[in-house]
Amino acid sequence: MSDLSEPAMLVLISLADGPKHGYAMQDDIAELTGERPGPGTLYGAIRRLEDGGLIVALPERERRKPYELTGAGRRALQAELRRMRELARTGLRRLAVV
Amino acid sequence: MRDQLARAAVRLYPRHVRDRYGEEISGLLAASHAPGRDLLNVVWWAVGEHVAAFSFSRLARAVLRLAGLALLPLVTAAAWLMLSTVGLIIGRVSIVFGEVAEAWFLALYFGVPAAVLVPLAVVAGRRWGRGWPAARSVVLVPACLAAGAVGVVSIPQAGVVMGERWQGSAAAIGVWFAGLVAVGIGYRWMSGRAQVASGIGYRWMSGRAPAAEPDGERRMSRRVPGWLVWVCLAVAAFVVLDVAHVVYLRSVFTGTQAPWAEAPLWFPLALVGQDSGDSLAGRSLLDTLKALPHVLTVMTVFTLAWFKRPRPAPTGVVKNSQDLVAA
Repeated sequence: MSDLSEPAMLVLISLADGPKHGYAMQDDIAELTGERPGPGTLYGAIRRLEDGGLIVALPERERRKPYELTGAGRRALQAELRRMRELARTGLRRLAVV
Repeated sequence: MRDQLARAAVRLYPRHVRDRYGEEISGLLAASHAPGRDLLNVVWWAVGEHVAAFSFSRLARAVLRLAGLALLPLVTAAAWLMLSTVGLIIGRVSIVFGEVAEAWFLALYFGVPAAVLVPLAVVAGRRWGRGWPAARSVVLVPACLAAGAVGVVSIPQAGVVMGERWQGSAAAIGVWFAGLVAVGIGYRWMSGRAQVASGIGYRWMSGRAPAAEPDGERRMSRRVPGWLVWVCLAVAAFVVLDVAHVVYLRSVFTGTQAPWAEAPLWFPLALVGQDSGDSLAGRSLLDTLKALPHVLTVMTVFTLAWFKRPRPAPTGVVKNSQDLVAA
């Protein structure tokens, strides 16, 4: 199983197309999932990802601090999404949906 | 109102998280579309961060620090005796080179330990508590030192190094503890009102440069000058030590043996190694108190230095949540 929690995965996916600050990530995740993550959930995930070297904070701009994926973060996200795709494909095949 | 709630909620986080993300979290919280839900979310995660940060190794480190503080009186007493012996040896050696005055002996006997231990106490007090959240307490340090000192006086035989009579030493240490806690509370109150007249004065008062203040400005509107805080601390500490020794001597001597008229001078005289006065207590200060005045003095210097140790700049919080709302 993956070490990444669901909020962490959503943060990585949100940052996959470029750096974002916290508020923009909240908006993006709300659009992706239909549910806006709370500030505690969001920054709990950001802290763990930053500690793990998967994302990095960029210099503050207009009192907002953007974050971006690191190389390791991008590779981890790719690996996790591939794993999820394989898992989904297997599950759907067994259900005879595909 | 919402900004204040946001700041209060962020304060629940452990310091290391608050320092890194506090401003951003309070910004999102203050600008939230669902403030009640997000407030609960932040509180929940703040508690979770505390749970995640707890570890037995941290607990062990805290216990070791407390034990180190409690050992300080024992180390001080041992070091004082050793250094005063060194002072005496220097005095003996100096006799070889000619006539030596008694004052020179006294200066060596009390000056050598004081010259070494007092600066060490200042440095140790200012450095020991860095990065330790529990160090903010004004009770913790005096309590640990007092517990250690009671431990020293309770050692059979060797305990007399801090006073010949256990009950007198214990009473003096109790008074010292209560007095230093009161001094700590007073210091906090005064330093909160300290007027900052210069950068140097400010640095000594607050332990950080003026620019590190949350609003980036010097606190010029306060009422008590910084130098006055120093003077008040020194006077208060002296009074505490004086009272502690009066309590000792009055608890082991009768009223006629230890009259009030001589009482204020007992501590300073004992500190510089003088037996003086007409009373029995005055004539036997050194035999009765032994190294108690010196150990309590070093403990006091350490505690005052701890109160005034440098502290990291506080975490900034957003002033206007609208600034953080995404464009």
